[in-house]
Amino acid sequence: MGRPARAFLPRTASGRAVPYQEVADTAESYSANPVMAAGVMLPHHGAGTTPPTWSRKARVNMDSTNNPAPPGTIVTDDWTRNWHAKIAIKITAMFMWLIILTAFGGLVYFTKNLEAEFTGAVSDELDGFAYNFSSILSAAPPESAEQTLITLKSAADDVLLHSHSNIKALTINVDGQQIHAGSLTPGLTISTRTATFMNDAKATKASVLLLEAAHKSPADYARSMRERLIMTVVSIVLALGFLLRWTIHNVLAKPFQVLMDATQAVSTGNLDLRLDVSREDEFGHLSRFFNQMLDRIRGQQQDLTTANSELLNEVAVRKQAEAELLKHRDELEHLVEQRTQDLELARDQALRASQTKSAFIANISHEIRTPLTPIIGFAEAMMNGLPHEEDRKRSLQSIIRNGKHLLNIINDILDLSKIEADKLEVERIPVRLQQLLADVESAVGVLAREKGLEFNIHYTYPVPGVVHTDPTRLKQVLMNLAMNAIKFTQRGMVSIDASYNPTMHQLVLAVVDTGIGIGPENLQRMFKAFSQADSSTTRQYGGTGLGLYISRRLSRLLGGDIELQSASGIGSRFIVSIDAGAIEAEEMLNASMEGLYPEETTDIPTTRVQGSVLLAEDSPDNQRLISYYLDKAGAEVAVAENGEIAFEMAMAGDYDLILMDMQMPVMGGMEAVELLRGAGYGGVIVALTANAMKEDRERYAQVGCDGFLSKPIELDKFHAVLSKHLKSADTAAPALTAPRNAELESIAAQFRDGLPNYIEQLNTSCTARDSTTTKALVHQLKGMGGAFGYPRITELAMTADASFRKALEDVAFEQALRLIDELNTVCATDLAEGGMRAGSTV
Amino acid sequence: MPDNTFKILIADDIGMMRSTLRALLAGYGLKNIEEAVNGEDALKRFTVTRHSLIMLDIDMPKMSGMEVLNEIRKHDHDTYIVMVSAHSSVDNVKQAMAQGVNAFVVKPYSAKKIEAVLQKFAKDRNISLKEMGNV
Repeated sequence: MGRPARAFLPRTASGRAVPYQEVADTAESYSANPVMAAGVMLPHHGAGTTPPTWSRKARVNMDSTNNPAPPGTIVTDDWTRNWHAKIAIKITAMFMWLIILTAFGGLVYFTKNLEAEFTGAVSDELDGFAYNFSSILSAAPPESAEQTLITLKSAADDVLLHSHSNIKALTINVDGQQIHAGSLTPGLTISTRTATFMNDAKATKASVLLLEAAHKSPADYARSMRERLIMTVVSIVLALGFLLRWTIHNVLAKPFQVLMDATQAVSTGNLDLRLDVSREDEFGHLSRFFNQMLDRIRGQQQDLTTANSELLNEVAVRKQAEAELLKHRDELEHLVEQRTQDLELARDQALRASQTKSAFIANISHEIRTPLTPIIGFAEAMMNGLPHEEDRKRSLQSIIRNGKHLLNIINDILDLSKIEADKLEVERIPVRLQQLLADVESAVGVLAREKGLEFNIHYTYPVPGVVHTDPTRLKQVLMNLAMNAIKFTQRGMVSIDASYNPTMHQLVLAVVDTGIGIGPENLQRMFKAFSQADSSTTRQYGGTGLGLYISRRLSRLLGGDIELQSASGIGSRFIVSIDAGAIEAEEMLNASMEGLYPEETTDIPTTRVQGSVLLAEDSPDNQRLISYYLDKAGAEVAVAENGEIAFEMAMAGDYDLILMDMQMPVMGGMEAVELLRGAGYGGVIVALTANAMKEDRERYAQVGCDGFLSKPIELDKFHAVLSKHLKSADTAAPALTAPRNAELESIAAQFRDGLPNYIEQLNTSCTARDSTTTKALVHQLKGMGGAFGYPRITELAMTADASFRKALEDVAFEQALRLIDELNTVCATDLAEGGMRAGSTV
Repeated sequence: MPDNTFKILIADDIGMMRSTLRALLAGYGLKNIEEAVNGEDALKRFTVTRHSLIMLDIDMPKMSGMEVLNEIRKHDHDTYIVMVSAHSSVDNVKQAMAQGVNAFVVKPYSAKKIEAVLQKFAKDRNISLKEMGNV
């Protein structure tokens, strides 16, 4: 390309065209490049240009397509301005054809008359010669004939010499005289002319001139001329052909080659090259489109590259995530495996526990059935009628004994289940050791003595006066061991030896007997649940086989253990050690101090009390039993069979004490107490429950219980509660807390004064069986009677009211009539006494 | 106590019940006692006086105690409201408690019950029952 090289350089990756600049100098710097030699410009590093040779419009177009054209957009420029090449080629071709055709036409034209023309020309020339020669001859005087011939000769030579004529030789015949000029060569054609002239001035004598001219034959001339013309035309056509080829080469082939090379370069992946677009012909366009295409491809490739790298990144992230997932899966599998193992272990444990429980239940049911058999048997025997008093008594004793045994079994089982469930809690409160041991003695000593055994308590002084432990549990252990000792001892003695190990801070209590003892082979089994020395022992001595197991567990809970020393046939020694805590020397008891703490009376306190008690208890038997105790103590009892009834009675009635069972149907005691306290009930509520757990008691206190009694009822505690919350019957003075004033009394008087009115209304409504009015009246009386010191009125009104509410109208009217009776009585009494009753219970 | 006394409202349609309650409360030294003869009256009086303690009967004409309770509790949660009713059913009490009653007294009430309620009220106001009568 002859123009200064301007390269259309690549855009930046972002697709933005950088400002263009002249890069003519780059042609040299890249001239070594073979592609460059083909007219392709390689990009200048970092610097892009746009072709300045482009028309402004086209450049604007380019600028407007700086951003990669959206897909589907066809990039064009102004075609009309770029037709030069096409026209040039067309004109060239046209002219060439014209020239060729003209040349051939001329050729044909000229060659057609060549012979005739030649013949004509020769003939004309000969005519001229003939005239000239005849003129010479006619002018010459006849005396100088000689001279005239010479003149003719030279004229002929001169003609031949100087003329461009085709005549090569001349022969002039004048009156027999011949003059030759030129040379006659073979192949020449002879043409002749004759002329007559006057050789004297008087024109009397005419002479004849014969001219013979030798010249080329017209055919030869035409042939040679034709050959020459053909040669010329062929030369011209050849020259034009070369010219055309050159033009085509420059205009078409070279740019095409450039394009080809570029395409090849692109196909090998070189997208950075750009074509020279300075040409204004189709190739310029093609190059521009090519460049644009490359731009697009490059842009797309960059996009692809970006997308690809993004994809690669994504793939990497995915792979990482996958790896993590795999890791997690492995971990999970591991975990699952571990869990499965744990579960299997737990299942095995559960299965074992279940088996143990099954065995336990089998044992228990056996243990329970055993005492039940005599109970049912003797009871049935008695029902059928035993004639002898002695038999009846023995049967009853048997029933009682077996019933107690049953109770023991159940207590043991409960303890056991608590122990197994780790629910058993022990207290640590100060306990007087001598008192505790005395309690044990009082309970089991009698049994020993009944059996003819000695029962002693030995102290190895010094022993602590007070130890910190759980007295109930310690007593339970000692009683159990002592009872066992008595059970398995036929003669001799049972004793409890108490001592203190100051280094270990342990209280040691050894229960010693002179009984059957235990062989060494059975020593280990003794403390297992449901095992006695052998099954025959069970048959002979009874027992649940739980006592020792429970005792050992309790001892351990108390911070110690039980050891067993025994010899078959000689006796056993169960050594209980418990944690007594560090005890100061001055707190230790010596022998001299024995009896310092007198035994407390174990008599059941039979305090007489007065007051009303609401007993909320669902079991009819417990209702009867506790009612009996309360009645014996002198309290009035009302019974509610569930929490809801208890609540309503407590709200409506007036009780000094509520004994509330915690487990009841419909509404439990807890809820009832909570509700009562919420409603502002201020009376004393004592919880009654078989749940002896500390946290239970705490919960009861939290909802508003003032105290706690465990079931089955321990009479001493029961009486303690009664005397604490009820007035003693001995101190009969009614300590009234309610205020009394004149106003209240006058209102009470008003109430009494209004009573006859009520009686009348009630009578009327009852007679008319007007339930609405009666109900309203009863309701009012119910609300007022108690408040004014007539609880009986309220009571009767309440029952009637309740019956009305239950739609038992007949009963209700009956009760209303009784209420009228009571009202009448009150009126009569009041009239008689004329006194004030208001406030007596208010 | 800004004015040194507790203002009390007794709402009951039976005059004798009102007198009884007034007498009982007076026994604890409470003097600033107003009476309302029905629910509407009670609400009107409360709107004016803003009593500290209301003894509210449930069965009243025009507006029941429960309605009065609901009206008061819409804006006021400080007033101590004692429901008084002849119905001691658990559902009754539960409903009343759920609607913001502070204590529930069932007719017939003994002085002891009223005392328990007053105790509860006094405890709520952080004073002793004895002090309450004196303030």
